[in-house]
Amino acid sequence: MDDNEVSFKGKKYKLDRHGFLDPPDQWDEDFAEGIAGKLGIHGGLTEDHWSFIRYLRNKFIKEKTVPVVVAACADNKLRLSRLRALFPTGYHRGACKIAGINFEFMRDVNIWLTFESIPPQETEHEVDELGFLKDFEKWNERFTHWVVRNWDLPDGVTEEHWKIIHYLRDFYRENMNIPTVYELCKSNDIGLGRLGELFPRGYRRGACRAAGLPFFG
Amino acid sequence: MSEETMQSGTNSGTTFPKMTRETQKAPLDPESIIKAIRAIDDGPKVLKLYMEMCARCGTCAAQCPVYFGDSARKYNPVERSDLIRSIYKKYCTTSGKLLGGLVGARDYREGELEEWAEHFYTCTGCRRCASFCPMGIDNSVITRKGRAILDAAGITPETMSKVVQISLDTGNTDGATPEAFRAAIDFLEEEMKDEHGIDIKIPVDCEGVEYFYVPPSGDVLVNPEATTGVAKVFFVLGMQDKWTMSSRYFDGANYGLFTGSDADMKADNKPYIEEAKRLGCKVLFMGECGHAYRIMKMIMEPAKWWGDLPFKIINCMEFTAEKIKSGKLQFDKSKNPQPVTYHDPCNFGRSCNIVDEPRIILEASCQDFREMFPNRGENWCCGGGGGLSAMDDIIDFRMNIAGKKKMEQIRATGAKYVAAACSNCKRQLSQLMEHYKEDIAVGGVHDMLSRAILVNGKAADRVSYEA
Repeated sequence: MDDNEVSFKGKKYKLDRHGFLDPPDQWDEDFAEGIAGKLGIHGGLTEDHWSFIRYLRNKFIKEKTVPVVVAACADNKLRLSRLRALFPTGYHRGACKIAGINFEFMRDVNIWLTFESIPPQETEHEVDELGFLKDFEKWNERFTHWVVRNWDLPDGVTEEHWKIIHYLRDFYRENMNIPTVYELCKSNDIGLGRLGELFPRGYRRGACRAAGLPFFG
Repeated sequence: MSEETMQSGTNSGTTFPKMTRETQKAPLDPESIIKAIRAIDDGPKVLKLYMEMCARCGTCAAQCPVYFGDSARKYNPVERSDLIRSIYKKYCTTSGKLLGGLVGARDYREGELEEWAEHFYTCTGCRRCASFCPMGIDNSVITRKGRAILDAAGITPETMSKVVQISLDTGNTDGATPEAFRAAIDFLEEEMKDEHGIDIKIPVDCEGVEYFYVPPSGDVLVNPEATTGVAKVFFVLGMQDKWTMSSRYFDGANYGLFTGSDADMKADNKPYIEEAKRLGCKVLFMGECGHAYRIMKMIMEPAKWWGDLPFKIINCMEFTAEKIKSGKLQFDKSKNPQPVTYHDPCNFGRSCNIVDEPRIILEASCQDFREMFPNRGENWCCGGGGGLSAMDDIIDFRMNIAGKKKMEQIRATGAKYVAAACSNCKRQLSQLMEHYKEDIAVGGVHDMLSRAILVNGKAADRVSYEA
């Protein structure tokens, strides 16, 4: 958990050790959209997200404070379960992170703000005990996002990933089997090293799992 | 291993808590420190015994979560306690006076106190050592003494002194006003109306009722499900008008226990007793907060800080478990299908023997309850005890060293939800899950109850929105 950096749309942003934007004046909408993809929000931020983010930023920038989650929900007439659906990683680790409020600031306002218990990021899909999709046909892009959520991919899921994922899915549909890793590399004109970078968890447990294939031991 | 590495430890990436330095408090001269240590002779008697009877067998080290995480010499409980013990021997025991270093006695070194801060704030005060020590030595008592001497000299972690100050100023560690509290309660009532379609009240400032509920403030403002759980229990029992909360005193947390300052601990405790008397309650109904309950039940009441009390002190889990046993509460377990485990907070498990009650509640409300081993009074500390959980400047220490054993234990259960009846544990545990990238939720005991309890024959309707 060292100081780290993320980049969205070619812009770099510095994060603190807790994964919060710091310094906070780096914030812009591209950051919000980008980091949201890493926080369980797939398919972009909607108006509902934005109105809550604007509310938080207003509190943060103009009133120099951060409300406790119960107050924030009351102000926005949001049910807790609705907030959880909007920001699956939670209020503090989700909404506040996207709104670019830094950890130190939050802790100085009220130490218990950083006290939330996080729900695990659940998937709508049925998975086996190894986390592989049970029904090949039920795959969608959200499943891939769920699988890669803690892989620390620097740019999230890119075109390069999708190309390999679709190749794997097509291959499996035709052959009910997976290609060898060499076949895969050859067909996609990619080196083994690059494949390892794209799928840091390996071929079967990384790429094949993200593509919604069953486990091949 | 060379002496050098033994001294500095194997993988200690510790950064130490930032200390406040209040110069208006007692000066740091050796005389006043030695005086404070000599004062141990005047009691409490048990501390005096701890000073004299350690056999240095090392049993405590094998049972210490911190020493498990990093077997550096400085994390050995004996080494830590010896900081005080050796000086005590020099001044207060015959053998120490006569034989000095031969029996481990030594004089105070000038400037040593600054180092103490690190030592006494790397003990989580979990008292696991005490339950295994053949002599029954409780190192947490010595740790607290060390912290008390530090605090008297004005050296206390910044975070803690801030929390203590906010709590003394406002009555709660959030610094929330009564208006903010009422707004939060209104919101929770709406939340329950949404879940059950009926009005379930959370009474505030009602005088002459039987139960006065004091949770940690986090259970109202940050993770409020525990409080809605309690409200539902009272509703189902038809006791809706028999309990109340206070809009000013709704936070049992008391960091005076952790800074070692008895004066702060009492000052923080007093308004709660006065409020309980003013409300005229018969039962002080403590929430899911380990140290708050321990201070009330095990420290304040037996020591008669405020004389004889006109009310009893019980914990909400005792109350709920008893009602479950007598069949008065019904549950829809299918609302909690995931595997659930229970982490015994040290202050409940080891210090107050509240061990079966949370299990009764969880077994009644969850489909798949699993034990972690060891458990109950022998459970391992989460690594955030003794107030350490609030300090993010020592997060490396808490994650990599103090919390290592706990993480192993939780992983071994395969649980997807860890219940802990303590806000400090919850904070530490949720940070552990984040640090070790585990998809395991952390929450309270009544949280699970709140999701599964049948109110008018129906469990909560949790609207699942399309994200």
